[in-house]
Amino acid sequence: MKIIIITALILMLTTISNARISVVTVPEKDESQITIYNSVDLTLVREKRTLSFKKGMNKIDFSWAGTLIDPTSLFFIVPGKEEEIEVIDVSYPPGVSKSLVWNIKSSLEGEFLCEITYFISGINWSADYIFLADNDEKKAHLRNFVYVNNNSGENMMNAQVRLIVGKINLVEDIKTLAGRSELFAKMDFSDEISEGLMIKKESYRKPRMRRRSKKTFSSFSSAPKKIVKESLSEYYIYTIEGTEDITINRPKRLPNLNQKEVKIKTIYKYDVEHYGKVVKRFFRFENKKKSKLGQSPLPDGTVRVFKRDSKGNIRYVGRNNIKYIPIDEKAEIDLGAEKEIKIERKLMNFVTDNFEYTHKGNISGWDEISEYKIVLTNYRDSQATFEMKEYFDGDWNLDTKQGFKKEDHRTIKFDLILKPGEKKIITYKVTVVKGNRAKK
Amino acid sequence: MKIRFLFILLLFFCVSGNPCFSITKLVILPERSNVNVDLNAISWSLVEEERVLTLVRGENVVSFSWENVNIDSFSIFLDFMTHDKKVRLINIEYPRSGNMVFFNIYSDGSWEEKVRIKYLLSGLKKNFSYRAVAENNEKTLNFQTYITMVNSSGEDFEKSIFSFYEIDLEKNLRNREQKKLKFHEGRKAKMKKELVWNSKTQPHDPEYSKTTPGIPVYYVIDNSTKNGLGKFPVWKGKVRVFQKDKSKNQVFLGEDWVKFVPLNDEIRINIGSSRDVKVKRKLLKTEKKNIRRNSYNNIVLYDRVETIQYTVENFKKKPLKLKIRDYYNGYWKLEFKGKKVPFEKKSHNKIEYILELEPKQKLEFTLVITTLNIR
Repeated sequence: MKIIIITALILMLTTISNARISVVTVPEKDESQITIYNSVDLTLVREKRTLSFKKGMNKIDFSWAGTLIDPTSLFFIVPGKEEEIEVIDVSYPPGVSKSLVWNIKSSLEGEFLCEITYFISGINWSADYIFLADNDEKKAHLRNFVYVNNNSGENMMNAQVRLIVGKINLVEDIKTLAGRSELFAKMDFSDEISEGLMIKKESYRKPRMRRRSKKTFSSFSSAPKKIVKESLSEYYIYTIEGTEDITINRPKRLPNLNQKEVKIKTIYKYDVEHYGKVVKRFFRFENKKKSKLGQSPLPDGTVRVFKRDSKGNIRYVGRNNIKYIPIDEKAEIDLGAEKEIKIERKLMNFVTDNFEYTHKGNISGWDEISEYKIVLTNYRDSQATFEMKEYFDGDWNLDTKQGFKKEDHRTIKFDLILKPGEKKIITYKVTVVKGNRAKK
Repeated sequence: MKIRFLFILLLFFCVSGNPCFSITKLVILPERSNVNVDLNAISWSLVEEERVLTLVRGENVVSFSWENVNIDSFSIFLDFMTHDKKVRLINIEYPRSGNMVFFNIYSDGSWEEKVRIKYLLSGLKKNFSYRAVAENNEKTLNFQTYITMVNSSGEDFEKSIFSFYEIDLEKNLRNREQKKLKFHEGRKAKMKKELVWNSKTQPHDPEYSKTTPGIPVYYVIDNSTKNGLGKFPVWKGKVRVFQKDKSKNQVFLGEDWVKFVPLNDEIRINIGSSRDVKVKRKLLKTEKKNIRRNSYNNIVLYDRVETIQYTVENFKKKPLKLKIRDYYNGYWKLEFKGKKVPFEKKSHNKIEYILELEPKQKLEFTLVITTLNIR
């Protein structure tokens, strides 16, 4: 696919006239910045170009054939000169697809740095993590990377790259808006682009090609680039140091976080309602300063978990997704089923009792008493912190010697420590009041 | 498709007072001027234009025809500007061929007459879009209103006045052209920011959500003249919200559709979601009280007493306003257990707790909802 962005400045006489002066310039980009969102397919592109203005009315043609730009998002401004150089209107002329004309009134004459912003589809970023736990599972080395991929149809050369961590509300896809034909003429007039403009497009692209080849084979910096984080409204902006070339079909993965000795804890959970009838293993850590984190939220992404064995070798544990973790919030990585901690949950006894009757002799209420025995065995050679949840519905009452915490009206939680090789037996009796006897 | 708009003056010479039907050879295409297009209506636009006709003393027939445009033929009307009382419209004829009308005009003299023609034309549409740029402190914003005129009428408009509300815009608007322009800008309009957690749509225990749930964030702006937003309603359209970062660059925060907002009403824009605030709702206890039974020992009436705990955590370093929206059905009474928080009863079954959270604050409140007389 041929990728083109053509910007042409066409000057007009101060009098309102349709005749354009034949001076046409194609200005180079002075600066560019891309802000990539990860929750939606949207990138905000900001280009700065120096343009010449005459006093009176000026016209700027902008076209974007072959790219996924949302035409409704295009915005022109001369920073600091908004009052003096003002966009009077934007015209989407008939018969020319993917093109617009800014009609600009200027009370100044000369060259000014202008800013063009627009939304483009096809560039995205994601986060991924490498989580290397020590053999004793008390500390981990956490690395985070950001991966940027460009399928927008436009090479983003020498651009400052910013990544947004946050969930924005988007009511229409940028890709849909970029391809919506009814905004423009339905017929394809691309063949009607004048040869002059085509030549300008080529002359515009050549320097970019040179720049890319230089970048590809020349020296790299001696250290990974810093990523500066700042908060904005409900989001966070990651700004990658310096500038980057984000080229089509050439994704980049940049280190974001590299933190050793992050405090972690291994937790085992048994919770039939949420995880099924298996014991699940988790690494738990907190995005806090005391855990050697807490500088910024951790974006959601894939985490690959590794662990050092007793000889110091690294082995792969598994891969899962991690949720967005705010500063000071705890996080858990689901490591899957743990077979070395066994659970046997058995109903040992079932009794019905305390029947009540209507005056006609029909049953109106009764109690169901169930006795459970849960045998937990830790076959691992390390201590296990175990959390077990049980759920009861209706009017229930629990009788057990084991301490528990009532989480809500139907959930209880047992917090247990299982020593290496230990077998622990928990028994409880639950009475559920049924029928008219129930008071819950 | 070639689109044409024709205005032809046809003159009839009547001899000795006898009615005549033969059309003379004189055909004039008068230039139009002072075109005004009223965009206030939804489907049809009122177009007014001026032409100069050369009238002769006696009866004149003026033909007005159109091709490839959609005109409501019963809306066409003429006003005489030069000799108002000496020129009279006798009637309008509608020939079977369609897309044409004949104005039968009687003139007291032979002269040039400036006429103003009015008709309803379809295919001129307008859309609204908005761009709000909030200051970094999220206390004020600039609210820009843009109008996009879309011309699918089949007619080119050169140097025409497009009127909307009390604003007149002189523009060229060719057929199939779209033109977007700033209609109004409200500067430094005051705004409020609030987060709304809704018990019907948000998870009650975010721990088990596969992704960190976001709580919807709203910008709320008074659409009032006092707040700098002009004298207009806000029409249905898309609003895109930006905020300036530390380098004064505008960062896109999100977008939302706004419905028609009358003047002095509130504009609510959902910009996105906050994942740095956590809300947990727990039903701690539920029990039946005041049980009444019938002679069969069946329960016929009781009260249900529910103890609900809300735990809210602000992980951000900034204060925030959070509304917790919850729903209770039936005949219910509310009682706080311990800490009280302000609330507003929005309807018989909807209540909003209004929380002002300090940076990094964790807040917990518990209440007892008694639903009375359940049968």
